[in-house]
This record gives sequence, C-alpha cells and structure tokens, in this order.
Amino acid sequence: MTTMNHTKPGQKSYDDTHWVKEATRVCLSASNGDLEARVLHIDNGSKLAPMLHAINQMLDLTDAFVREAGASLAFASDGMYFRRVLPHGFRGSFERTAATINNATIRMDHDAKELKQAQGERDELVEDIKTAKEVSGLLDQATRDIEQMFAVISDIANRTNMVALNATIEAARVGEAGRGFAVVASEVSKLAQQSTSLTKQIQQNVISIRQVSSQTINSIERILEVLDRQVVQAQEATLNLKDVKAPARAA
Amino acid sequence: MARDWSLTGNERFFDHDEIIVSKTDTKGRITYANEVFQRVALYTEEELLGKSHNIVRHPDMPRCVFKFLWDRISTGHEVFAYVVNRCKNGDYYWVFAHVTPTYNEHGRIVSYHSSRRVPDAGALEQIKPLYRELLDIEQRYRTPREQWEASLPALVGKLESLGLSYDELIFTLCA
Ligand SMILES: Cc1cc2nc3c(=O)[nH]c(=O)nc-3n(C[C@H](O)[C@H](O)[C@H](O)COP(=O)(O)O)c2cc1C
Repeated sequence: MTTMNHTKPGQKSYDDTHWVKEATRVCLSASNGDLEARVLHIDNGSKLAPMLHAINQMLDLTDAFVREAGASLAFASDGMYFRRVLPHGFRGSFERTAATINNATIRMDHDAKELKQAQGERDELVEDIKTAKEVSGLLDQATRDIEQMFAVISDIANRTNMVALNATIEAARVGEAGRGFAVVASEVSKLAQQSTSLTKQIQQNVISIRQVSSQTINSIERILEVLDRQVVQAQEATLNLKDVKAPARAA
Repeated sequence: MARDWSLTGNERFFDHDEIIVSKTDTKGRITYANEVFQRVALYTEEELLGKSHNIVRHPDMPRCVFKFLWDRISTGHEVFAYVVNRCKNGDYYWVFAHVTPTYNEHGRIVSYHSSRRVPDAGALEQIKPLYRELLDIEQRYRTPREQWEASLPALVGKLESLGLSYDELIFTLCA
C-alpha cells in the first residue's frame, strides 16, 4: 500500500512533473489491480489539481464498487442472498452492473428456495418409496410362507390318496360287505386329487405374485438408487460452490 | 490535549449520489480521506491524515457499535453501520457506513476501507431509539469495557428478538 506520502504541504510546492509522476504511479497501481493508491497532499493551487482529484474520485468509486459487488457475490456463494449491492452513489455502468448483480442474486434466492422445496418433496418421496419397499418385502415373505405350506398340503393330499387306496384294497378284500366303504374310499381319493390339482393352480398363482413382487422390489431399488445419486449430486454442487468461494473472499 | 466534545446541534448533509470515503491502517489511523469527507466533516486532509478515526466520533454513538465493528472487520468480515459523526465545529452528520478489510496477496489484512452513503430516513427513525437505549445502558458504567460488555448483549438481544442476523437487520432496514 502506498497511500502515505510524507511530503509536508506548505513547506515546498511541487512542480507539475511531480504531480504527473504521482498521477502515473497511482494509475499504474490501479491498473495492476491495487485500488489502494491515491494521490495525497494535492496542492489545490496547481493547475493539475482538478485532474488529480478526478483520479482519486474515479478510484474511490471503482474501489467501492469492487468491494460492494465482491461482498454481495461472496455472500451469495455462501448461500445467503439478502446481501444486495447498494446502488446509492453509483452512476452509469456502475449503477447498471449493480442492478444486474442484484437481479442475479434475487433470482438465485428464488431458485434456492425452489430447490429447497424440491429437496423436501424428494425426501418425502424417498420415505414413501421406502415404505412401499418394506410392504413389498412383507408380501414376498408371505408368499414364501404360503409356498412352504404347499409342501405340507400336497404331502397331506398324497397321504390321503394312499389311505384311500389302501381302504379300497381292504374294502375289496371283505367283498360285498366292503362295497359301501369302497365308494367312500374312491370319493376320498377323488377329493385328494382335486385338492392336489387345486393346490398346483394356487401355487402357480403364488409364483406369479412372487415374480411381480420381486420385480416391484427391483424397480423400487432402482428408483432409490437414482434418488440417492441426485442427493449426492446436489451435495457435490454445494461443495463445489464452497471451493470457488474462497478466492471471492480474499479478493 | 483535552478532547473537544462541544456540539452545535446543527446537522450537515451530503448528496445522495456522493460517497464519503476513508481508508485507515490496521490500527484505525486515517491514511486517506476523500474530498466529500473533508467538505462534510470540515477537516482538511492534513488534519485527518495519520489521526485516529475517532477524530469524528460523536458522543451519541454507543460504544458497542464500534466494538462490534472492530470485531467484524478484524476477523475479515464486512460490516454495515448507521453512524452519527461529529464535524470539526461540533455539527453532526449521519451516514450509512460500509467498512471492509483490504487484503494483500497473501490474504492478510493490511488496511481498512470505509464508504459512507446518505442513510435512509426510515431506517434512522428505528436506529435512533435503539442507540439511545444502548447509550443509556452504557452510561451506567465507568470503563469503556464495562460499557460495551453491558450494551453489546442488549444489541444482540434486540436482533434475536427480531429473529434476524445483524446483516439481515441492516438490509431489512435499508430495503
Ligand atoms: C475504516 C474505518 C472507518 C471508521 N469510520 C468511523 C467513523 O466514521 N466514525 C467513527 O466514530 N468511528 C469510525 N471508525 C471507528 C473508530 O476507529 C473508533 O473505533 C471509534 O470512533 C470509537 O472510538 P473510541 O473507542 O476512541 O471511542 C472507523 C474505523 C475504521 C477502521
């Protein structure tokens, strides 16, 4: 920083060459991005004084504008959008650019609010889908349980059939006296066969239900994966913003 | 040298499209004051350069505002504040000040900068009673430290009761 200039005013009045040198120094540091330098101790008697004051004024406005715009954008990259560039004191391009930045942060504010709402809705959706997955899991388990029962049922049917067969044989052995009993045994055998074929039909249906429910579970898992990826992407976007933020602050 | 605190009660003004600019070193000693500053505060550049910025301090300003200001800028943050300043002749002028640190290429704070605009009249209506309140609290204590230790919580409490951060309060006021 080179604002301090130790010339004692009144002691010595500088010639124009000195002021041209001063003006050049200040303008060069400004063009190098150092907006700190100013011409100090301006001799208002010098005919160059208005020019020197104009240089200072130009730098004051540029400096103030850079600080204002930088602050507003630094806040925005921190996710705070209420920090507007204060337009007072700025004219022309400064004023217009300030308005442009403000429109941008107003827009960002709006988008951020919508994004937040969408995130909330997505979270709710994820919860609903997780519930659906749980319910489908229960359904899947229930059908497995039913399938295990089929084994038992068909075993019973087979055994019933065997019992009926044995009964028919025994009935035949006792001759005429066993005739009525043989009719009952054959009815029992028919019932056992019907029950077996019905069980097979139901088993077929249950297998279909299981296929459908495992497809449902697969679809739900894919949906959850996509939603998870979206959450990760949103988090990464926020992280990236934090990375680019640092130079905005230090500027 | 005894500090001249005499006041005239006269208010001075500057234009809406003007800004009062000053720069200080890290200790708050003035290294630059623009023409508008000199004209409004009635000091020459020579009288200001090298002096502590409290040269324009007005006794109506609560101490905790400056404590807050320095806490913010010395930790690298910008700060906005409504400030009433004292002119050389005892007149006063209100400003809406923006104070920011300036960094060197290594990211270290090397100086401070302030630009001041004409404050919004509506905002001042709300700020004045708040400052009065803070000042009343401070006047019950003797040392500067006791003063801001008592009034700063009142300022913070006020913000909390409004549910706003300091920055949000400032921007709500000037919106
Ligand atoms: C860049 C900059 C600008 C400042 N501008 C003012 C100002 O306009 N008025 C003021 O009273 N204090 C201003 N201060 C704060 C003063 O340094 C000081 O803290 C304040 O006047 C209180 O002084 P005191 O502690 O001696 O009472 C400024 C500080 C900095 C760093």
